[in-house]
Amino acid sequence: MAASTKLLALCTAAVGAVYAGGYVYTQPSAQASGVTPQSSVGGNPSSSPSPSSSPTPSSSSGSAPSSSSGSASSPAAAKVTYRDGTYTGSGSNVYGTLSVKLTVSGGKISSVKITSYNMHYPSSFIYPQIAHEVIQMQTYRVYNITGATASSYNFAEAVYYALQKAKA
Amino acid sequence: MESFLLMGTVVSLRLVGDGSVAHMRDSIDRAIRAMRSVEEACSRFDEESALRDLCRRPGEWVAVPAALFQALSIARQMAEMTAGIFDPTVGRALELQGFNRHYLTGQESDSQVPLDTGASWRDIELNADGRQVRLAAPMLLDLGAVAKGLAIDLAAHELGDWPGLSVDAGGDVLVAGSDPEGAVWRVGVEHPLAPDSLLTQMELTNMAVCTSGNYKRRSPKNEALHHLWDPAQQRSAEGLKSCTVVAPQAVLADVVSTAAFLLGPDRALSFIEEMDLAGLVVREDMTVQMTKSMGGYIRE
Repeated sequence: MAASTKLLALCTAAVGAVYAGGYVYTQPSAQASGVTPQSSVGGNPSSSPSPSSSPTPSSSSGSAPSSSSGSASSPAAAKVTYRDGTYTGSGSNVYGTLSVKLTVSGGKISSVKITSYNMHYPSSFIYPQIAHEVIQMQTYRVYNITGATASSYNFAEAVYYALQKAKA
Repeated sequence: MESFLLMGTVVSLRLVGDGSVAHMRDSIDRAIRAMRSVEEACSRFDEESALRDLCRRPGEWVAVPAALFQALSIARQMAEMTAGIFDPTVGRALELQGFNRHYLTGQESDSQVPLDTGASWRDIELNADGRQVRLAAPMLLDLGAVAKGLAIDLAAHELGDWPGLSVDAGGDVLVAGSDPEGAVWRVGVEHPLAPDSLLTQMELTNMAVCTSGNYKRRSPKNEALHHLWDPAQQRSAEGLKSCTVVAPQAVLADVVSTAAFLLGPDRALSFIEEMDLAGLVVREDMTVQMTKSMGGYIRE
């Protein structure tokens, strides 16, 4: 089956091809330095020197603003940019609590690390009728579980609070 | 183990070995950066992504990042193999069903692409130079079934000098080397009806396992609709609850599990077998079928 052979070949070669092409994509304009996550708290990764749109003092404990507009290439309307630095936020709902540490570099979110994750999804709460039928399996040593992708909208609150602090 | 929000989901990286903390930090930073670069290239939700830039310029040859080119090549090939049942040009249809919110900023995207252009995967033209793409008709691409897998493969490559590693991106998993106890990795398969329980478990390494399922991501506009879109019927694909595929690369497992899901209950399993891969499907009535090769991984 030639078509599947081609697919296998494409998938096998993909990683190498991405590296050969220089995997870090930098926006055509703006951000010459691309995304460079800084892990140090309060870090001040100064990236492209383009003037920030309208820096206003923020109440956050983040570092001095050095963000770029980063949206010069986009014809789309006013894009929110954020001040470079590291910010934290947490949110909770009926399922539990989540805290994040969000890093902004070059005016863009470069990483959102989950620092504490205390979610509980009791099956008896969500699917009372099924909980009893599910065969309890030994989950010792199971480090990863494959399943349909859950959206992370329920984390939006934590990210929202961190982003409020990061808003220029 | 460290977890991040990336590509619309939770990404967890686990490293096994005696490396220094600095080495570990460096590895994780590189892996996250690699995944971010795929997201920046291929995201449908980020107006500044290379994908959105490409979609704003139909009819033009556009130089795109290598990650986008590779993702498009794989998606187009799968579209050809399934005669368009899998089609990466369904982005606008998904957007209109409310799958349009950026997972970090909450901003809703509206590409303004007309829906009824008759655009299909055939309108994606890939230049032999490996860099340029031309969209022959206006469309909004969705590479959700490919980009995440590619990002996982890149992350695994960055972590490759560790004796053991796993990358888990919202249920798409890659394991390599040995687990924290020096044994072969165990990967659970989520139960579609009770997502905190397992349907079964597998033992494997240097392999990726991806699952496509309709039981989690629902349209905010219509609860009956989910994100696995059948372009021919203009509705969500029906007949299966989930479809799990094992493959040497996450991108392959990702695209095959999605395509098999879309092909439906009658063809999903034989399609996985034709690809010479292992997998299992869960039908709407919860009956489970698996390829013969899948049996070799299962550990009850």
